[in-house]
Amino acid sequence: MNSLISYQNIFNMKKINILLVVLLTIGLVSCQKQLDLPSDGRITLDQVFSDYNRTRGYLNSCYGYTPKPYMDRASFSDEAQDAVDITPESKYNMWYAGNVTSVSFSNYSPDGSPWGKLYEGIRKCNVFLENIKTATVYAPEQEKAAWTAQAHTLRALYYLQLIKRYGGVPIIDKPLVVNNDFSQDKRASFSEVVKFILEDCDKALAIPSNRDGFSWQIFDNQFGIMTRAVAYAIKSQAITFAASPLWADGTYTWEQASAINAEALAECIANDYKLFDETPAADIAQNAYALYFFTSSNDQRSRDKETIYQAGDPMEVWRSAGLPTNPGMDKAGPCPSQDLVDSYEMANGEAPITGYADANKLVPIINATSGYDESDPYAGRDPRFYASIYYNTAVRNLDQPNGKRVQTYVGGTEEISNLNPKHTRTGYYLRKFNNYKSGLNNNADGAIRLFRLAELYLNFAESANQSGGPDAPVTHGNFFMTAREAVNIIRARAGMPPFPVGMTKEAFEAKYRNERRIELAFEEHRFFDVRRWKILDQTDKAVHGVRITRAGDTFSYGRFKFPERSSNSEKFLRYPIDQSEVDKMVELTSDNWQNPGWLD
Amino acid sequence: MKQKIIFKISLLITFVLILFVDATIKAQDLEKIINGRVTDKFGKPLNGVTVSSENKNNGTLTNVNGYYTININDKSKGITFFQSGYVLEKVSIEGQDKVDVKLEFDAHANSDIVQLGYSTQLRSAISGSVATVSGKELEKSPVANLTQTLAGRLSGLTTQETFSELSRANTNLFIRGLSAGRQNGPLVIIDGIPTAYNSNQSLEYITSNEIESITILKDASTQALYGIQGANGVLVVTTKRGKKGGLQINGRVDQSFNQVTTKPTFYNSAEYAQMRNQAAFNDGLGENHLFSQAQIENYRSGQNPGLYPNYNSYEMFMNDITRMQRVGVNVTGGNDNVQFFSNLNFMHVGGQFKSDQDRYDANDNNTWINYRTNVDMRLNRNLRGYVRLSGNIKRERTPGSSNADVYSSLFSMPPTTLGPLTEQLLDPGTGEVQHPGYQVITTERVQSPTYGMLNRTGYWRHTVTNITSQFGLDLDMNFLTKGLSANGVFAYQTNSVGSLGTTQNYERYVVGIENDNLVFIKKGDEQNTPLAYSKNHSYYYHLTYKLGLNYQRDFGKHQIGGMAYAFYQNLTKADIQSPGLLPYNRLNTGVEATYGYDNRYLIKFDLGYSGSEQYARDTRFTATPAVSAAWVLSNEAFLDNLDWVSNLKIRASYGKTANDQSGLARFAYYDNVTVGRGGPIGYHQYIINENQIGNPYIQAEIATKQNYGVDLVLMKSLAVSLDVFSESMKNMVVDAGATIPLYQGIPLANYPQTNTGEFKNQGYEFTASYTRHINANLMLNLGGLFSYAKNTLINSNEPLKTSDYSYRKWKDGYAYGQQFGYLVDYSNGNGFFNSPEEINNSNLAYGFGQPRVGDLKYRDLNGDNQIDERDKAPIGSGVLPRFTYGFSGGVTYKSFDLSFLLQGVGDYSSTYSGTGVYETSFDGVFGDLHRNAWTAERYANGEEITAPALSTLKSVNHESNDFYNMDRSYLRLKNVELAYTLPASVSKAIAAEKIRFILSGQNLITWDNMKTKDFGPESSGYTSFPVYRAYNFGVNVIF
Repeated sequence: MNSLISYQNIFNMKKINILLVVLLTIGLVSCQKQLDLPSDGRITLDQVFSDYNRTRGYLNSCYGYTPKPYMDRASFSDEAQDAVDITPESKYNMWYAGNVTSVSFSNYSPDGSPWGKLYEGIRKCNVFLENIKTATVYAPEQEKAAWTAQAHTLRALYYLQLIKRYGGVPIIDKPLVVNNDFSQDKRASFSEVVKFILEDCDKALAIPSNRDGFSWQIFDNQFGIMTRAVAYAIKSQAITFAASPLWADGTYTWEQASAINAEALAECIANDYKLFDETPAADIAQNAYALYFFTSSNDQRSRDKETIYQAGDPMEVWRSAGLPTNPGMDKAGPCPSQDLVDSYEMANGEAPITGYADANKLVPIINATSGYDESDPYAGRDPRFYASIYYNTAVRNLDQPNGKRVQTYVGGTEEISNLNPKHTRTGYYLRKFNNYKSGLNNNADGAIRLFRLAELYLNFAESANQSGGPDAPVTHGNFFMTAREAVNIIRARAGMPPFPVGMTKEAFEAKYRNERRIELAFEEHRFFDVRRWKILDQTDKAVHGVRITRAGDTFSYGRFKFPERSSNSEKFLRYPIDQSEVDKMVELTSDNWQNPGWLD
Repeated sequence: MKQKIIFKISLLITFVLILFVDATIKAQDLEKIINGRVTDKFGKPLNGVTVSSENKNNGTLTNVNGYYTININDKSKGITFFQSGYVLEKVSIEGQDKVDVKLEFDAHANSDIVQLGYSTQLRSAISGSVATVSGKELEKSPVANLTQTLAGRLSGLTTQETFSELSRANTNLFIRGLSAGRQNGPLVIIDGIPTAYNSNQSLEYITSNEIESITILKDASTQALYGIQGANGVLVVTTKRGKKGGLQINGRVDQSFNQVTTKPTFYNSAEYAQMRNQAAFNDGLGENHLFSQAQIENYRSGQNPGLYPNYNSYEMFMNDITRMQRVGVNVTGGNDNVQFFSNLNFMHVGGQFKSDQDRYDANDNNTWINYRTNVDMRLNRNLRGYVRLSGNIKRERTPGSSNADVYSSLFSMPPTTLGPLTEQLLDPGTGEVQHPGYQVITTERVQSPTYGMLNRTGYWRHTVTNITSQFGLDLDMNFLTKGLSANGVFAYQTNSVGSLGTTQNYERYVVGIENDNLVFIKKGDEQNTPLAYSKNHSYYYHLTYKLGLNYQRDFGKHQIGGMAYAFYQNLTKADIQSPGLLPYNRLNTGVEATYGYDNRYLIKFDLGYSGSEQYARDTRFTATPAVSAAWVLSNEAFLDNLDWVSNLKIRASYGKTANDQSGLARFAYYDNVTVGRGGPIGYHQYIINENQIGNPYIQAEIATKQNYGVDLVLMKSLAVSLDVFSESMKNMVVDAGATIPLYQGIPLANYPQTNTGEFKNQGYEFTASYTRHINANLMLNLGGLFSYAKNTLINSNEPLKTSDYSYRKWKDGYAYGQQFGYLVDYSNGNGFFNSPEEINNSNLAYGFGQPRVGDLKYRDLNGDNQIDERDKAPIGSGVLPRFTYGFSGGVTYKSFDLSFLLQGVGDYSSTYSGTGVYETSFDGVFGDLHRNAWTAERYANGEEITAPALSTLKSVNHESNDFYNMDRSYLRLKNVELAYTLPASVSKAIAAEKIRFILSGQNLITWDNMKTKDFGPESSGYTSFPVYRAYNFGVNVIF
């Protein structure tokens, strides 16, 4: 009896189970659909390269990975001491104290750790270059070729940014699959990467230069596009670095550098590039050099024919490196060092100071023939000094020559301070890129150019001097120039007398390096130049300032030295690769990729 | 799908309606009335005992004096008596009309029904691992937030009060620690409906007096049903439901006083100036670099506060006591056809700051109303229905900056600050107003001072409304087979936060002194602005459909049970951007089968089968089977006559449970490439955005869990349980980033994650409780619980560091969240470089700056005379305490009852940093530690040294190191309650059944081993709200 009941029940249970299974099955099948992703606008890469607009869109996405030059880097060199160094956790403090490791570097460096971003750009170029070969997109072959040229140039530009910072890096020239095997990868040498950069530029330059090809011109709405001039500028900078003491490994000689620099310079000059020489009205800027740095480069190149490539945005110098008397400013930012001020020649072309009598560099050795007066140190200097530096008694508003003067003396309105980040730490403020009219709601300040023609002249002069001395001509086709001539063109624009005839190679080198420091001040060049020349340990020991005190109408100038910096050791010649990246490569390749001194 | 579900539900409703028509209540069966009295073994009347007919259609409760009257009309031949903690009593009523019973106390509460979320089990039938606490117990804690009441009350539950702001306090809950390498809390199920989003916030909306019980599900056999939602454990909240019996009104009023448990050190201005000078001196800037001796003297004398103030933000802006008021009313009652429970609570808390803005009030203020109504109906003989509605409205006012920001700003302004406002300045010559005064003073390094945040930034008013509702039907399907029932429920939760901003900005001034005269220098370009209005809104909802079948029947000694469910959840989160705005959908199903033989052998099978929109079709659904078994030895003949063993059961479970909250981006199985307009070069017009790369194989994480336990009750009064568990996850989702180099060019955040990690978690729990009814007037109970859980991250794809590292892996092989840092070399006795010679002789070069005298000497673990990353060693114990424990006890004597709860954690330490630990923030913020910082003098005198040499800048000491590692274990007197119940004669005078006065306290005393007294062991640091202590007075009246 009992078993009969349970049998019946089990039978019922079975029915229920069947019912249950059927219900669940129906439920699950119908629910797969409910759990799928509704269309939300995603496409595949194949769909990109079959469409004209999307293909151009992909090329567009290859742009924009270049670190943007910014005046801030000056604070990481002997050009400036940063006013924010009073803030305990500031990156300037950490840098000056050498308190930087391969783990913390990205927090404390001028541009973080751009390794990953640059390789993102390189990958995009690789994807584009690989896919455009077989792309089904309907576009004229010439337009495809022009796109290809842009991608090659961009890739070269990114590699150049990488090697300037890190030295040799792995060369990736194809898109990698998701499960790529990295175990055989190696860091290429600096010159191997330079070779790759030069090839990329040459591939781009092989495309015809007409309007639909790889052009010299920047047409409407094309601001920021890659042009032939950019490719030449990349070549010039890459080869100059490759021949420099830090990176030279015998692959590239100064002769080769001269040839490439001559070609780059010659081609640019022949194609409507020239130094900016517009004489400004006296109430706008002191000279063409001053005006240039707050004049916008544009897509038609209508006014500014010097700029080859502008990657950065207009800066707000008035706000971030401003005078404390300018309402709304944040900080005095990079304050030009006395060392930089000392390096400006007198207007007669003589160096005011030839050296220092003491180890702390507080007692200058004055060049008697220069006319430099220690009690009136800012009189009769290189016009670029007045364009670049706000010093004590500098005229602030150029439209009122007898009006407001900058007061950096103790007790003055822009006085030097150890405590207030809005006041200068050195006795000077940055003027380059600054339009005195800039202020709240009116930013008229300028941008740093990534490449401009003056650099090409200087690169040429450097390599020509190194390969044949100051007066040995270098030719490229019809182009014919010596190192001295090249420097003199730069100086002529600035209103400075030429380098004297008959200098030795060494004398020329010294004066050239000073010239380069002045001409390219605050444009991110000094940081890299002292490294490639391997003089970081001399230049970045400590910087100096001047404490000016006033008694009646006379000022006295007390030079002082900032605490010595610990950021001048060997390891600071190169950026460290992020330690996490290094760890991965140790695991994958058993090689330690770290740069010397950084946990290598 | 949705349509189909709606269709199914309509079908069900139609079916129900048909039944309705059929079942227009038939002529009542013959009625029988039984009355009697229920007492305990001492003859003391038991109030609130549920009296129920065997067939469950009739029921009532006993009154204060233990009397009951029940009408039986469902042909039952017996009635049952039950109260939690007592043995269920069954009595035959054949031929009786008066039944008096004495209930037997049960230390193991075997007759209690344990809520398991989707199902329930008698405690005696439990074969898995669970822990339960009653709402009554939680009511003892006078706190605003339910999550704060749980610490120390459930074995296996780790709590961390991570944020203590009074109205927004948050306590993170973890069941058996972590199940994977991330800090996921448990799935919260409230009245049978999973709250899969913002669950901690949902708990905040419930008051403990509306809770029947909270249960945590700890092992695979109880979690498997929940499939991809189960692996982090399940917290089951069950609210009270109406009971058959008369109307009862239960009101309670509380007034609490909240006070911080810790208060950071504040120095006076002279001490501060000296310490700053000391720091500058250590940095090589010479004596009196920042403050001259004369200045310090002036600060000390306090005679010229206009120039030499002594600024103490804490005293200036903080009230010592914050008041909280609570009023709660429960109304419950019912008859055989309808039962209801209604609850209404009001709470107010606020006013911890001192503000002086008279045009508006920006001080924090919160009022909060929440309510709940649960109604159960018997619609006809076969059909029951229920409606559960609850909601809350919270109005919160905060200063324009949040409360937390205001609090943390208290520490930023140095004591030498003048302020908080500027005074009017007149030109001494002309009498012209040079500065208008009443402007906010700050310093160069402080962006926003407290005064400005509190009085010049306006205020925000947030209105949070949260509504949850459930409609459910239970259909008795005895017409198919006895014991079978079907149920369906539809639930909806919606949360909406509307924020009205009334904010303004203000000018900041920095104080300067020129020729001994004050000057105020304007800082930044902020302007004084009028109040500006703005409004924000956020919104989310949950929509849940669930269908289920239940089967429960006994065949002689065989007990068979079964359950199946399907559940569909549609969730919209508060995100307003794609892909976060796309709905989150889950489909879970599961079956459970139980078999018991003679209350001796119990076995249970569970199978979950669940999937979500996060996975591709092929890997979407995950099966989670589990099995558990128990053997009740005490019911075996061979133990039957052992009097002192009243209960002995051994349990074991093994199975799988899964997790889909693994930090994946949405639709991680798909590539995400989109096309847009614009881009860097205008001429190119379009731009392609490449985002995530898909991993089509990504699937839910599966944890395999084992649990072994034993329950023992001795002498009917001492109950002991021990559980041992081991959990392992072999397909943990990990970032690929750990092994993929950056130079391949795809941002690592876009790189697909993979199921290749491995995680392990092991531990045990021990609970004991002793309850003794000594006589009718005196009852004692004591309890303790002790939990241990240790997790290990076995594999997270971490690359091996080079061999010159002293530790080549920093994650794998350690507890989740293991910190690494430098070990201090104490070989010289104190761990500092005490002289320049010591620095030289050490031959150590630091890779992160130059050590000074008085700085920490680190151990060169790899022996290369270089202190850098390679010398870092594990410090601390990971993100969670490994031990958690609690002791509780109580005495009831006549009208008095007293209870206490001690709670603590152990095996937990971590390093602290930031403001107040490091002294360099803002203009120097000094904590307790810095009073005895290293100086040459203090060292020479052999005084105690509690910090390295002070500095004005980041020094080598400010690196992760074990000097700042603190032991975070603590023992806390969490809760004490003393209550007195008025004699019934007095209560009757106001027609009340019971009047009870309550004195209680929360977080009364904490014993810890922290190196500093500035903040407590649960705190994240110096500047976060400390844990509050509460003193409470309450009155409870039952009508």
